[in-house]
Amino acid sequence: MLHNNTRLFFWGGVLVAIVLLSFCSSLFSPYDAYSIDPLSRLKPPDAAHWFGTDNFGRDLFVRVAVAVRVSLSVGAAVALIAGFTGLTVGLLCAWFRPLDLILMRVCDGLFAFPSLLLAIAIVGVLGPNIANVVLALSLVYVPSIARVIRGAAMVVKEKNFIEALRAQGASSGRIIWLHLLPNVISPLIVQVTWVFSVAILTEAALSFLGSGVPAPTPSLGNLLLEGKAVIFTAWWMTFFPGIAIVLLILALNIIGDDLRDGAEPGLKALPVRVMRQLKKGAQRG
Amino acid sequence: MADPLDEPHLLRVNNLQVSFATPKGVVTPVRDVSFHVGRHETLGIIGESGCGKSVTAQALMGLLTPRTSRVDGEIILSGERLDVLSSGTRRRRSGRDIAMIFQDPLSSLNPVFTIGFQIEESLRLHTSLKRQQRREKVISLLEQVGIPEPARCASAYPHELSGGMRQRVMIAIAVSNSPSLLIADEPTTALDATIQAQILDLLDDIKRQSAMGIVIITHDLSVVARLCQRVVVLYAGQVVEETDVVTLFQHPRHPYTRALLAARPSAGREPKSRLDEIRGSVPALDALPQGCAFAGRCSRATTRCLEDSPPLRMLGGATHQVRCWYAENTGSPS
Repeated sequence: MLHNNTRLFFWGGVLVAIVLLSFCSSLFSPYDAYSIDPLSRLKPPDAAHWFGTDNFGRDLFVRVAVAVRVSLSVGAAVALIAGFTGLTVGLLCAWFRPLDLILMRVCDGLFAFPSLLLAIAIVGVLGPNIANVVLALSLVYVPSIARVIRGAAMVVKEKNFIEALRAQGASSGRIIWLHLLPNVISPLIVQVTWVFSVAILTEAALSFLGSGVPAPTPSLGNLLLEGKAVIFTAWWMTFFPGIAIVLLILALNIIGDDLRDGAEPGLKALPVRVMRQLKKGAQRG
Repeated sequence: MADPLDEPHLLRVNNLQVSFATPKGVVTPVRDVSFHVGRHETLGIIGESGCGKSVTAQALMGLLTPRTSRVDGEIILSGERLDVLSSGTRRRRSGRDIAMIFQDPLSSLNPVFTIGFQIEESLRLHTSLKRQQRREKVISLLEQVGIPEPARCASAYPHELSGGMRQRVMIAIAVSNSPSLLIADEPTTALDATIQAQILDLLDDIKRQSAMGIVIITHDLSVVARLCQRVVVLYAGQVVEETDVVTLFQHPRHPYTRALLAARPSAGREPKSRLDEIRGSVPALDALPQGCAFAGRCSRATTRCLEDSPPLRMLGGATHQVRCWYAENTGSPS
């Protein structure tokens, strides 16, 4: 179905491995992410502490695992919330001209701020906790999804079949949700995977700057922040969270890219091809 | 509401006028158009590009958005005025009482759904049939429009079908709720000649079986000759001639109609000879002339034509109307 299968499978495998490692970290390590052990503080990686320990003697492997879990949850929540909101806003803007004028100006306003600054401002007003970080990041990424969906939906809206549906007596709501929506699924998937990875990155930046996930909850950003103070004496405290970010973002971006390549031949192609593939599978099975 | 039996015509359009607000000002692509369609009757609306044919069809279906356009006049279907209905009521009527088929069958179907789903959609919108009944109805509709292997077609996606097949599917969707009036906006323009003939035969068959009225909008005189009983000729948004099809072809009275007929290629013509043409083009909607709209292209135009717009008037019997000062002058044009 998608060309470049090996690349997709490799990075898919990397992503699955990271997810499994982070969610099943207790199988590999007996330590707790929050219990302090002053006697073994700042130990380099060894057989007991795979990633070493931090300045409170907490096991870094477990803390990175929990941080990846936190980051993935934040990313997924942002992708879902921004995806749904952006889809709704985009479709409604494409369909109702007067609404378009209002909502798109609001989006322009949000666009005018650098996304990181806007996120810092929102978290600053609401207070730093995970829910507010998710809210802030969702708000930051809704406009870009809404714009792409609006553009795609406006193209589809001008197609004859929409007028034919109106001539059949279909209501606006039915046309938007049943007929327009499946035609913009491909750009939506691409946008949502992009937001997923960018949200993780922005969350890490927020936490690094101290206005993201608050300590003691580990997140990839605040682990880097803690490591920064001791970067010359305990390299592992910045190295492992850094590697985790790089692998996670790379995997998500490459998967998103390949999905886009698969979707590119036409707006309609991906859902049709997915359906076809499923049907073929069903016939074989 | 009038008793439908008092109304002799299935559809009657009185003084239809459509205006659009554009950045350059208000343009009126359909001006004071009146016509009627009887039950069991096929009416042809002909004219060249830009003369208001498709806008008329959209106005009949209620497809024009009130925000950018203004529709005046009466549209009366089976004795009931459609133009005064609320948009919601109007919407529930379209597809059930009036159906429409479009020019381009290639883009008239949603690419992400199967044919069966899309025919079912019109049943879902207007009937309370159960899923299984809908499936059966879909198969019988596909059979009715002459599609071989209807079950397989129902589970196919639009891109797997040829243009002719897709137009058959569009016709199946249009007739699925047995409308009393079918509007066909250039139904064969996008198809090649043999398929055109098949689709026209199909429309004729369906009309015979279901006794509905059909309005065919076309620029193709052969379509008119083949299907229609009566013809309305539009020019620059006005009716310039209305008569039965035999009179139209044998005794056209308006210079525009004559010129259209003369421009047809015919079998007896000298090879490689130049076809007759109508010089110039339709006047722009924002620069309509003061007098007769056709005067600028008419070989017989006089100063009266340039100054005064002729009214639509009866000629001979009660069925022939022409908008020309010199309609009685039957000498050959040129």
